[in-house]
Amino acid sequence: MNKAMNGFQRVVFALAGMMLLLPFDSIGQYNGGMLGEDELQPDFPVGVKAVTSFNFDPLTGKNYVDFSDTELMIGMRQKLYNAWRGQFIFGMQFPDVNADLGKIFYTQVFTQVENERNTFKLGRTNAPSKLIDFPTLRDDDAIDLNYSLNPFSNGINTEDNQYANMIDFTHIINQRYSIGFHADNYIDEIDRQNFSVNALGLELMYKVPDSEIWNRNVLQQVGLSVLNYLTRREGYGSWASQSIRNYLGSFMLNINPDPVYFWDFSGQVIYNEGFKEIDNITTYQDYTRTETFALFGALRFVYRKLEKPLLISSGGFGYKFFSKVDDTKQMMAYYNFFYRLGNNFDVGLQYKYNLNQGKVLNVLEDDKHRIQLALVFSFDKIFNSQFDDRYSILNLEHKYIK
Amino acid sequence: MDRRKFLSSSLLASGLMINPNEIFSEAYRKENLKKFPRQLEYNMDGDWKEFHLTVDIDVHEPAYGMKYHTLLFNNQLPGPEIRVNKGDKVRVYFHNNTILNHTIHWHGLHTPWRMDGVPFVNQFPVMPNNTFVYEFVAEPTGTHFYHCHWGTVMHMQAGMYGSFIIEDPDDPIKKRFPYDREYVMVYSAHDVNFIREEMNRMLYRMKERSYLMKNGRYNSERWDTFDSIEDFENAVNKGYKPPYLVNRRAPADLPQPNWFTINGKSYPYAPELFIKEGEKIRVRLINAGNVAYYLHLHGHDFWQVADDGRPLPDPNQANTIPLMPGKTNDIIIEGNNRGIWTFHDHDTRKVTNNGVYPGGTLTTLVYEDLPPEERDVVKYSGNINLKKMAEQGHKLPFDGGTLPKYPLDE
Ligand SMILES: [Cu+2]
Repeated sequence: MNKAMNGFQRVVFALAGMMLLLPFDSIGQYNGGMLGEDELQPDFPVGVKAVTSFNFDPLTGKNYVDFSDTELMIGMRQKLYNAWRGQFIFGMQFPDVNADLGKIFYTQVFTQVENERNTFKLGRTNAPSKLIDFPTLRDDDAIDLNYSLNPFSNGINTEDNQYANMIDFTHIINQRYSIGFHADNYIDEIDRQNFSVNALGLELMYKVPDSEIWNRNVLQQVGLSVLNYLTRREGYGSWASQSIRNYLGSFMLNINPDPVYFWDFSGQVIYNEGFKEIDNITTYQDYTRTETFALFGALRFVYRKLEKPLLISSGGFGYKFFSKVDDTKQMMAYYNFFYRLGNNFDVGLQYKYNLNQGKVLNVLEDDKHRIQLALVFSFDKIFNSQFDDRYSILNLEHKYIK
Repeated sequence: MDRRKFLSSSLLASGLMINPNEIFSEAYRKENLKKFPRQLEYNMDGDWKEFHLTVDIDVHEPAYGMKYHTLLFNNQLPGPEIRVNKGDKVRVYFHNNTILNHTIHWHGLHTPWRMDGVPFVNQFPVMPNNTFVYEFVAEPTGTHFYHCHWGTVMHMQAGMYGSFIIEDPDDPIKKRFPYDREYVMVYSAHDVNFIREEMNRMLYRMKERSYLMKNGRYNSERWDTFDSIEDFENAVNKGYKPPYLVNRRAPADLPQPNWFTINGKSYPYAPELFIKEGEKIRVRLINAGNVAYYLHLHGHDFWQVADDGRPLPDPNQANTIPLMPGKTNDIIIEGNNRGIWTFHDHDTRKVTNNGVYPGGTLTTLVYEDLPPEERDVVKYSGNINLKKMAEQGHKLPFDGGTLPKYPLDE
C-alpha cells in the first residue's frame, strides 16, 4: 500500500471509525426506498490553489521548480434539522519533492456540524499549531519560526506541523470572540503506527470578520492558545510533567485600513517550554523539545484597484532564541510581491533569507538565500449556494437566519 | 405498487392541503384582507398629497418557515399602495435607511423627466441616509406600480415594488361593469439565494465606497459611470476594466427564481379572491417581477378591461391572460358559476415553493356564499365508492367529507 493511502487511512481508522468502510446505505441514513429520492442537494464549495515556483539559490546556483502546496479542496454543506448545519470537506495537495508522504497528501478529510454558536469538527484538517496565516508565498516558508513544531516529527515533512487529525469543539461567545478545545493526533514519525491522541489544546480568539474590515478598527485579531504535546518524557510520572507545552500569542493590527491603500501588521510569539534537560541539539526531537522562544512579524501592503487587490506586498522577520543551547539561534527575513494578472491569477516574487547558527545546523540545512518566481492560480466558489456563511454581513448585522 | 407506498407517495406529490371549511370562516376572510396592499396615508400640504416612503433591510417570510433578508418599502412586501385620483398633485418623500443606493421609478406614470427615478439618466441615486422628494401630477388613470431602479436585478425582486393606482371618477370600466370590490394582485419572482449573495456583496462594496466618498476620493471609474462614451472608452484604454469584462460587481450567475409570490406571499399563504354569486369583482394584476405569468382561471371567462392601466375600448373575454414583466392587466370576474375555482399560472413551474409543487402563485376564486352542503364531497362528487362508504357509516377523509381546498391535478 502506498504512503499516501496510509495518511488517509489514519483518519478513517483513528477518527471516523469503521463506518466509512461499510457500504453507503448500511450506515447512518437509511433512505427508505423511493421516499428518499427527493433529497435536497447540498452546497458544493470548491477551492483550488496552484502554487508553482521557480526557486533559485544565488549562492550555490541550485535551482528547481516546485509545485508543493498546490491544493484542491471540495466540500458539501447542508442545512440539518434543528438549525444545525453539516459539512464534509475533502482536500489534497502535492507535498514537497523529498517528502515522505507519497505523491498526494490528504490535507483535509473532515466532517463538521455547526449551529449559530458552536462548531464540532472531526477529522484531519489544519493543525492548531499557529494562530495566524502570514502572507508568505507558501504556508511553510517560515515554519521553524511561525509554527509550534510537532515533537513527534522527524523533520522531513513540513506537513507534520501543518495538519493533524483532531476532534475540535469551538464555542462562539459572540460574533468576534470564540473559545476552542481540541484533542489532536499529530503525525507521529517516530512511531508511524501511533494514531492515538498525542496533543490537547485550548484556544481563545478575538477576530474581526473579513466582511467588517472597513469598520476600520485598529485591532483585527488577538489570539492565545496553549498546546500540550503528550510526549513520553523519560523519568517523569504525571502527564503534565511528561508533556511539552507551547504557548502561542498573536495579534493583527490595521495600520492603515484604507480600502485602496491597505496596511496591516501581524505578529506571533511562541514560547516552547521544552524539557530543561535538553541543552544540546543532536536530533530533530532535541530541536523541537528544547526551550525556545520564537517571534514572527509581517507587514503587509495591499493596493486595491477598483475593489479588488491588484498588488500585494509584504515583508517579515522572525527570530528564535534557544535559552538552553549555547550559541544557537535562528533568524529569517522575507520580502514578497504579488501582482494580479486577472481574475484568480497572480504572479509573484519572493526573496527569503535564513540564518541558522550553532547547534541547529546539526539537524537543519543552512539555506541562506532563496529567490522564488511564482505563478499562483486560486479559485474559490460555492456552487448551489443555499445559505450564508457565519460571517456574512447579513448574518452579522441583521441577525443570523436559521 | 403497494398501497401504503402509493398513498404516501401521492401525499408527497400533492404537498400541503388546507381544508376548505376554514376559508369560509369570518376570521379567514379578515386575515385574507390583510394580504392585499395597505394604502399609504397622506397628509395635505396645500393641494399636494404628501406620502412618505422609507427603505430598510428586513426579513420576509413568503410562506411559513421560510425567511430571507430583503429590501422593503415601509417594512412591507409589496410596498404600501399609493392610491390617488387623476390629476392629484403627489409629493413622495423617499428616505433611504440602508447603506445601499436606491431610486424610485413610477412605472407607467407620466411624470416630469427628473422625477422618473433612473440613476444617472435623470437623477443621482438616493444615497445612504438621504431623502429624495418626488413631485408629479397623477396621470394617466389606472393600475400602475412603482419600484426601485437601482441595481434592479436585485432590488426590484428583493421587494422594492408596490402598486400605484390612479382612480378616475368617470371610470368607463366601472360604468360598464359595476363592481363593489376590487383586488390588487402584485406578482413577483424571487431568487432568494441570489438576493442573499448579491446583498452581501453590495453591502460590503458600499462600506468601501462610503469610506471613499467621505474622503472625496470616489471617482467615475468606481461608480462605473462616465460623462460620455468617449470618457468611458478612454478609461478602458487606460486600463479600466468594465464590470462586464471582470466580474467585480455581481455574481456570475443570473437569478433563477425559486419563490413566486402574489403580494409577497406564496401558496398556501397567497391571497384568495372572494366573490359572491351575481357579483362582479375587479382584479388588478401587476407583474413587478422578471418572469412571465400565464394566469388561468377555472370555470369562468373573465373580461380583460385594461392594459397597462388603459381601459380597453372593446373588452374581450378569456380564461387565460399573459401577465408579462412590467405589465398590468385589469380583469373583471363575474360570479356566475359558484364554487371554489383555481386561479393560477399555467406555466406550472411557477406554482412551486423552492421547487416543490404546489406553491407559488397558486390561489383560488372562492364563492363566499357557497352553501355548506355544496362543499360536501360525498353528495356531489360522483365518487360511487365514497358514497357507499358514507352510507355504510365509514369515517371519510377530511373532516366532514369536504374536499381539500385546491384541486391539485390541473
Ligand atoms: Cu433599491
